[in-house]
Amino acid sequence: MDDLLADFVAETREMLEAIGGEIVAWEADPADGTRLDAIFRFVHTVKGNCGFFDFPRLEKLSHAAEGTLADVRAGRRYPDSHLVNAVLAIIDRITQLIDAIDAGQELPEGGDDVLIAALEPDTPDAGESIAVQSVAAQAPSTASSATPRTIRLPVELLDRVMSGVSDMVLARNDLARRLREAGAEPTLDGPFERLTGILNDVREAVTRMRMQRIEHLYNALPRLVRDLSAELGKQVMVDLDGGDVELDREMIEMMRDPITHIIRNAIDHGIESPSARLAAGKREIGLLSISARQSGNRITLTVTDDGKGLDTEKIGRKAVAAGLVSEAELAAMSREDIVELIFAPGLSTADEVSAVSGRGVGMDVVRANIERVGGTISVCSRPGSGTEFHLQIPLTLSIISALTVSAGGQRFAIPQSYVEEIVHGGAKAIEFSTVGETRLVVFRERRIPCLPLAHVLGIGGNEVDRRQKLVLLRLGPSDLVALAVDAIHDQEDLVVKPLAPAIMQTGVYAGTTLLDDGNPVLMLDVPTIAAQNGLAAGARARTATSVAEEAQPTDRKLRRLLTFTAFDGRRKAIGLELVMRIDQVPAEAIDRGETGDTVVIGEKIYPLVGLEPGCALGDAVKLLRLSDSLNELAYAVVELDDSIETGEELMPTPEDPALEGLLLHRGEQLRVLDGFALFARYTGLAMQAERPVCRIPRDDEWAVRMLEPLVRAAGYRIAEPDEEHVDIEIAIADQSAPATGEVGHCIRLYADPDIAAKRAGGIYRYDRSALVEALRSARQEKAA
Amino acid sequence: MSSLYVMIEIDGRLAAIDAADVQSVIEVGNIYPVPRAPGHIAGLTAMRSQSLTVVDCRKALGLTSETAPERAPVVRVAGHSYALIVDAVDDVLEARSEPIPLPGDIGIEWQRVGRGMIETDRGPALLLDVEALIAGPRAVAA
Repeated sequence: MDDLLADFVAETREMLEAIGGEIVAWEADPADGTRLDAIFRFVHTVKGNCGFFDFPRLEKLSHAAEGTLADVRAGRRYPDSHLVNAVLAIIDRITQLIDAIDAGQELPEGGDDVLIAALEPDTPDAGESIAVQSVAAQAPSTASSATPRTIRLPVELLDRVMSGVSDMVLARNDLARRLREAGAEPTLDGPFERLTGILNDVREAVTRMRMQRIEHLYNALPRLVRDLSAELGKQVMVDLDGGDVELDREMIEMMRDPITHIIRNAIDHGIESPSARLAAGKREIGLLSISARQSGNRITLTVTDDGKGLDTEKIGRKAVAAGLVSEAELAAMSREDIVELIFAPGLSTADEVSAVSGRGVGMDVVRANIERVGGTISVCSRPGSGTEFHLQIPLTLSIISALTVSAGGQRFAIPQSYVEEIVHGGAKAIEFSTVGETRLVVFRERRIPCLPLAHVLGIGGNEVDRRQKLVLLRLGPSDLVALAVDAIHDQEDLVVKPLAPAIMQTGVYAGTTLLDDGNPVLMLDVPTIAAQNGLAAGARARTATSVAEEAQPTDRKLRRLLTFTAFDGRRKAIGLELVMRIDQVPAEAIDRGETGDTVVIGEKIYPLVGLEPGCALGDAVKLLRLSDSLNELAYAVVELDDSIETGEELMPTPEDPALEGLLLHRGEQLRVLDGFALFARYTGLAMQAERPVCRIPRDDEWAVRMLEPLVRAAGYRIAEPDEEHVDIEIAIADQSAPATGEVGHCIRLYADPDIAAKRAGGIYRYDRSALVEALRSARQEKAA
Repeated sequence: MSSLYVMIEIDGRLAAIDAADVQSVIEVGNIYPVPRAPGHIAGLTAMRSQSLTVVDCRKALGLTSETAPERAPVVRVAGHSYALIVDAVDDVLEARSEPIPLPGDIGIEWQRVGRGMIETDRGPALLLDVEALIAGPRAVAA
């Protein structure tokens, strides 16, 4: 929404600027039809746009002006100076309103009706004076509209600038070579250095122009997931990670469809229905995590679901039915190979074509699209526990620092980011040996597999010569591989361009680039080469395994609650973020003590809450395992109901501290448990030892009355006034003097929800859930 | 009505590429081979700070003989530029007819890259489907 609004303001400003001249010209010659058209278009566009944004005043003004101008265009009225003035006054007012919207201020009050009335033919002279007034009123506001200026450009223009700069770099490199050949020329060196410096700056700026945070891709996903899961009757939450990774704008657009498709598939086929999930011993809410990592010159996007995994049997059957493989071939295939079949054209595993996926666009298209931009996609799937898609896409237009080497008489480039060290094969510290067909080198007491580059590329034998040089490449935190090459040339900054698909399919190249001398050189795809040769493929993104850690609702405004029927017969709910898993234990595992109940799960004893004194237990008891990340406790329930998502405010219940409040859900009252009160009460002893310290403003009446109990309930100790070290500080911020001082963490509370929303880390002072969440995550961080 | 075609020769046969598909015709300089690339990819070459993928049209048709690099039309397919090395690049001609269907079986590889046939002043020419041509011989697709 904010983006749209900013676009609207920018666009309107642009148009205002553009018609500025037209307005003056029209004023000089009101009979000029083309000027009139331009102005008419402007008010028309503004009218259309603000209907979309709900700015009734703007809409009214532009509508009135449009009507009058339409009359003039139709020849029903003559544009006398009175009418011109009235229209100009309206345009000026529109300018003011736009400035106000942009500055986030209240729109200046009133006066619109006078302006609109002035458009009528029989209101002599009103327009003139108003026009003058509003221009005068506008004058001071122009100073405040000095927001960062932006312009919008077509991407083609950016591309042209980009390729122009690339060409300039190549020309510079060529010149540098010629200068070197011509010998030292002090009078040229200075200006040349300067040129180089300027060029580098420009190149960096141009590259940045094209980059965008991957957040732009992420922004649409929570909604997509929400809509899809609602449509399919599933419950899915989405965890997005690495939104700050920057990627070429166009690459982001290219990734939109494949990612969307994978997500659709994951929700439709991967994640089971809530009941099936419970039956399989999983949380009923599926987790879909998407993470982005930059590793060297590639971005790795990982989409993981914790669903049922790919059904290899089904894929196999479909593949045979579709004639992709024969029965015999299928029987010989490994699980991984069968999983790979999902990328084959003409395979859809959905039994029925549902509305969501399986509409003929298959994973083959996804793969084709990704390969088109020089990326790769792979999948791995564990039956019953989920599927993971790895997309590796290049930062095609980014400039990569690379090492050029030669092997088999040809030159190749290796991204510098992989290069750990370069060693001469003749060095004394090196020892070669052969195991099977694999060469190994011993270097600094480590055995490292050694690949002769020429052999990898099929242009040379599998021998390593002592005269060769070894480039040690780092694939992962502990994986090294040595690449034997004939010679090492230079380290250069290269502009990598994608390769044609026919070359990409070899899998050993990541792109192509032109060297200083204008010759093309191939950039090696190090991870794929390693994988092809059976070595660990590094640069894998973090995979989401620990559900408890990942389980954070993406949208704070919407809370997810798990509802259940408690032993006191009441319907209750608890924040889903606390629920680690759902267990069922035999009644014998429960010990009903004098001071409190406990339960044995696995090999641990947990405090048990939720049983009513003297209630019958039956054979087995369902338990919610709750965790606040430090402590766990079990909550006994009679029956589990579904989980809900709510944005409703809770009705507070001050008389019952165990409750966060009451929630009206489908005409029924739900008692929402206060997880923090629960933990504070039942795991109090355990927490005493490492209670983090929080400083709150002691001199603020509100803080002492309202904040202190909440902070205590969240497991914090309130800092003494003279205490130096605190884990977190809560400050009451006002606009004029933002709280300063870095005390590990600082939570800023604002009295105005709108301002709070605009500040990073700002929280509205009565937004209890956001505050509690901030305190919780701060404590989690400390615990980690 | 009738569009322009760049006339080329592949293995002594006359063929045509829609002139709209051809960006330019270049003299092919050094070709840098790409190890492990499919056979019809002769390598990479540089054209004005851009690298082109060089496709040997004889090999793309499954023929074993190599084409001697000479002048090559440059085409752009799916965002990538290719230089097609052919026996000869002739004129740009106007077709005397609309493309007509291929006359029966003209050989499986030729069939694959043919979109139809056009009549020109120099006789009948196979109208090439550039995309199919650069995809290479059948073996690659399997």
